Amino acid sequence: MLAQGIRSHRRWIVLALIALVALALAPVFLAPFHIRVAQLFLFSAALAVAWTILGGFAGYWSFGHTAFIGLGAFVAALVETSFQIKPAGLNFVVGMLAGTGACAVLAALLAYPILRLRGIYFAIAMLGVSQVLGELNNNVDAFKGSLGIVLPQIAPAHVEPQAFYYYLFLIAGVLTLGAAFAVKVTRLGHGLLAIREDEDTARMLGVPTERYKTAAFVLSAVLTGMLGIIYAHALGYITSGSVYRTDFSLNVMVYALLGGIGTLAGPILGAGIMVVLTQMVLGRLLDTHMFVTGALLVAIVMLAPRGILGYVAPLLRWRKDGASP
Amino acid sequence: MAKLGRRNFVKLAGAAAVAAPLIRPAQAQAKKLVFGGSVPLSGRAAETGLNVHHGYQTAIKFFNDKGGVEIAGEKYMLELRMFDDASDPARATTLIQRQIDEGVDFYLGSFGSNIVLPTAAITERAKKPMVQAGGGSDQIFNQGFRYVFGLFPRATKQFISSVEFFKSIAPRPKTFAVIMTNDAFSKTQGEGAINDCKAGGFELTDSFQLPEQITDVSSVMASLRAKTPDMVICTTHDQNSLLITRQMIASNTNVPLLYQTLGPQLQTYRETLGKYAGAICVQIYWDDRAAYKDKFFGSAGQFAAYYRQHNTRPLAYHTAGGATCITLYVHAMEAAKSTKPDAVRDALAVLDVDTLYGRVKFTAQGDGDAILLGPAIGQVQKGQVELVFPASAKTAGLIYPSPKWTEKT
Repeated sequence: MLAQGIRSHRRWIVLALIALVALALAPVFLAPFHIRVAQLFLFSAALAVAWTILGGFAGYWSFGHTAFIGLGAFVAALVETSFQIKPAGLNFVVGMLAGTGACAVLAALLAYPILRLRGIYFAIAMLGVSQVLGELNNNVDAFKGSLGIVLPQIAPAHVEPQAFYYYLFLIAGVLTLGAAFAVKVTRLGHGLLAIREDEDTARMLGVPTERYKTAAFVLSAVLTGMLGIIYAHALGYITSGSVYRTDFSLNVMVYALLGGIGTLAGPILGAGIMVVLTQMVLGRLLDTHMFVTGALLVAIVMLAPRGILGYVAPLLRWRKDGASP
Repeated sequence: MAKLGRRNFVKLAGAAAVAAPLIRPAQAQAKKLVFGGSVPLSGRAAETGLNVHHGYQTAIKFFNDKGGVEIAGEKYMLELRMFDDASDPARATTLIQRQIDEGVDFYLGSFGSNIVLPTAAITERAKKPMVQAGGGSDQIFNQGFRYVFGLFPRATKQFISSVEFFKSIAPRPKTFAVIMTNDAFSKTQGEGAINDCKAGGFELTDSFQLPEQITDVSSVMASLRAKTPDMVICTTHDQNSLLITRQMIASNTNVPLLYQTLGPQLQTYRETLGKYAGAICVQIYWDDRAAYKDKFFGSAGQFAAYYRQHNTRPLAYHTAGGATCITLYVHAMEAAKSTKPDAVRDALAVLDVDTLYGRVKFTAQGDGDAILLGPAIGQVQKGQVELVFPASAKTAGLIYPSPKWTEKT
């Protein structure tokens, strides 16, 4: 099924490989500021794709995915600062395994009670989970959320940190996109789409809805946790306020809605537009950037209610081979 | 005089068009000192960010209205080039990199250690000084950074000036109890208070760690009545301090000294408690009535007057702190006789000057000297907060021991 999926999406895959080569070469030509913008784009786009596995494919919109960013970041930070394994790279890998493992366990534990909720009830329940985790992290001394944790430096001394983390985010982005693509074109993805369209009918027709939803939830949580861990290292110092942020949860939905929800290219496109807009175009505006961002967002959504990809793709007629982006 | 006909007009316009590019570089040659950095004007820290930003703006305007500053015989105008980091560390680090790339040499700080530390790591790597009044976390100052200076003492040292105050009281108190809540500010201060007071020779009778939002402290009051200390230290936020005081009054729990880090500085607190607010002590980070002399503004009071003349936003201590960051840069540049970042950094490291914020001196790690820049102590007297410590800022003598609740007038 995967091979068939690759064949039917070959144009998108070629495009993605060209983009990957361009992104891999970009730091050679870009100024440090532009590398940081690109780093933020990769982080945002990968987060939105990870969210799409559950929100876009299965239609389970999570308003609290920041829970996994925060959990992953803090578990990794606590493990790395407690054990301080040498060399630093190995310490990071151990932290990554611990952080993503914690996200997987939490998602698996939450799946049974929380995935029984649908629509806005699920969204609000996830918001609650993220708020509770954030408060716990802030108030339980052992988690050090209020005082903060300085993460071990993993970038080699001779490498510029912004370039190092750019490549880490690029690797994480490729992994996330690859995982999401594999989900989309296999039986799991088709099952999730069936759940999105009509969950009761899907179950009646033999789709193992609980198992599929749990798999999507756990995978989405693990990928989000992985990105949170890299993000925490890129900052170097985190408090609860740095990683348990409701705006993370909301932004990923904005990216997906803007680009085209339910697709893989849409969230990437949406993240690209928003990052360039907020960091580069409006970055210098001191007190009007929020207003201008909001106004532009409203205008785009009104002009392209199905997202930019939903507006552009039919014009390109790329879907005639049956592959959606 | 020749008439300005169509032909002459065209000639004149043509000449102007040719000359314009030549004029522009001449204007651009006016020397400028650019101060960059981020400040949260939106998001969770926006309120304080606005206060800090107003301080920066006021100092820049003040210097430019005076015709700029003179460094090593050359005149410079000051330019403030801040951006809104929206209380988001990722945005702050991205946009501060743009300013590094653009060649901005001097940086001011944001508000909140979770933003100040990641941005400071970038300016440190670029070897550009940062003077900030918004990050007090210990982690900022134990990274080995050389180019980062903080106006406030690091969090764990912010209680040292209070201990000096306790030591100065006659007759000297002997015992103390601490009430703190389960949040970063309160907990850090509470733990600092216990350690520093013990080190100062005071005996701890009890410490109480309460939830972040207090609703009832009757059990704490019972404990205090059973074992009454000479001082009750509350490292609590405004509303929690008010609730504790109310329950002390209601349960007639009397102590010779009630000290609260926050609360009594607010007019609403004093109005709510009326006569009962009298003799309660409070930390005061800055007061425009303090007798601080400043080379540029004249004094803390004159800075306040200038600020109020040009702003409608109420003056806060963060505003004065922000303005002081700019004056410290000017002091350092004058001392270094240079505007080179390395020379300015070296001058900042050894700076010891009187400013509108008090005497400023940095430790070897870059935070403010705990005695000089720690909070002053105020006491409510006749409905107003009077400064009772340190001696250099004193506006009234200390009332000690405090009258009992039933005897307050």
